[in-house]
Amino acid sequence: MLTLSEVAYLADASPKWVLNACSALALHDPYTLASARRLYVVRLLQHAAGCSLERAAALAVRLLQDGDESNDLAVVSVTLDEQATLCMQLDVARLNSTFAARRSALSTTLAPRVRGRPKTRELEPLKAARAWGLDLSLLASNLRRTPTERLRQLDAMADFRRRVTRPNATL
Amino acid sequence: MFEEMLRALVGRGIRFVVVGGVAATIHGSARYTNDLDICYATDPENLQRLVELLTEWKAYLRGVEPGLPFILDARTFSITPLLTLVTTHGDFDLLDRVPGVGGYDEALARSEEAQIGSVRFHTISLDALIDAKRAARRKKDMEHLIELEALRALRDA
Repeated sequence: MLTLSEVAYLADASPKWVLNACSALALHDPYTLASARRLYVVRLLQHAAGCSLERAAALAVRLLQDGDESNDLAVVSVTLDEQATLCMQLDVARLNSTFAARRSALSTTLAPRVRGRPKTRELEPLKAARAWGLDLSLLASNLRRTPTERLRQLDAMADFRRRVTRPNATL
Repeated sequence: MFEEMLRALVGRGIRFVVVGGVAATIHGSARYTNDLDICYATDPENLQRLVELLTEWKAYLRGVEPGLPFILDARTFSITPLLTLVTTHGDFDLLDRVPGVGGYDEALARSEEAQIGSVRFHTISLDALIDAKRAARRKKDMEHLIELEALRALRDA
């Protein structure tokens, strides 16, 4: 189950757009990956073809069905008016790749943000660090090392983590 | 691990600035980090070099199930400018912009030269790193921000 902001990120839209779209399209289960993917395509189509939300949603369902079967290109025609029809090709493989990349960024890097305004009056940095319980002697010790030594230490830590084992651990 | 990754990036002529946890380590942070974060130049030649390197490193998306479709080419970078990858050489995050700092040119202007072995590269300055953490305003960065600001205070004392 996803949150509104997660669906918005996956759909590359604002939370407000997501809420409006879910309401307009009567999506009963909007906070799922499948819904997020559909909303992503809806938004793409709205932007590319300039069609209404409802039209884009109908096209998205067809495109995703066709595209998932072929995992290649899906083609759809959009009638603009009596004289013009727009033919669109959706690169489903590219779309799936991009959506997967957004999922990856969401699960690894993007994280809840601090809400509200930043404090205008903050503690002096060393006082704030002590109040937080940071070991300033560790920082002072690191500052006595050169940048190269600090980087080698990090590499050594990474190597240690790879090599250390816990023979009796169950997890 | 990081030395090897940096050597490969520099050796391929890829233009980048180290940001994130490794940059913080270079400035004295005591926190451990698992991945290398870079801000990359977005010109076509640089993207192509990145694509070639990442293809050699068998890069795949981190944090998702295996087997999902993933097209690794220059166009992917323009559509998805933040890529969080797992590679044969380690976890690797690539950004086209650093919050609070800007794109590659701005990050480069606020960077310092660092060196490990014979490898010279650019790393974002401590001041810029602090600005980036403040701009991102992620809860998980708040503790790190306290440490970075303390580092700056100790350095400047």
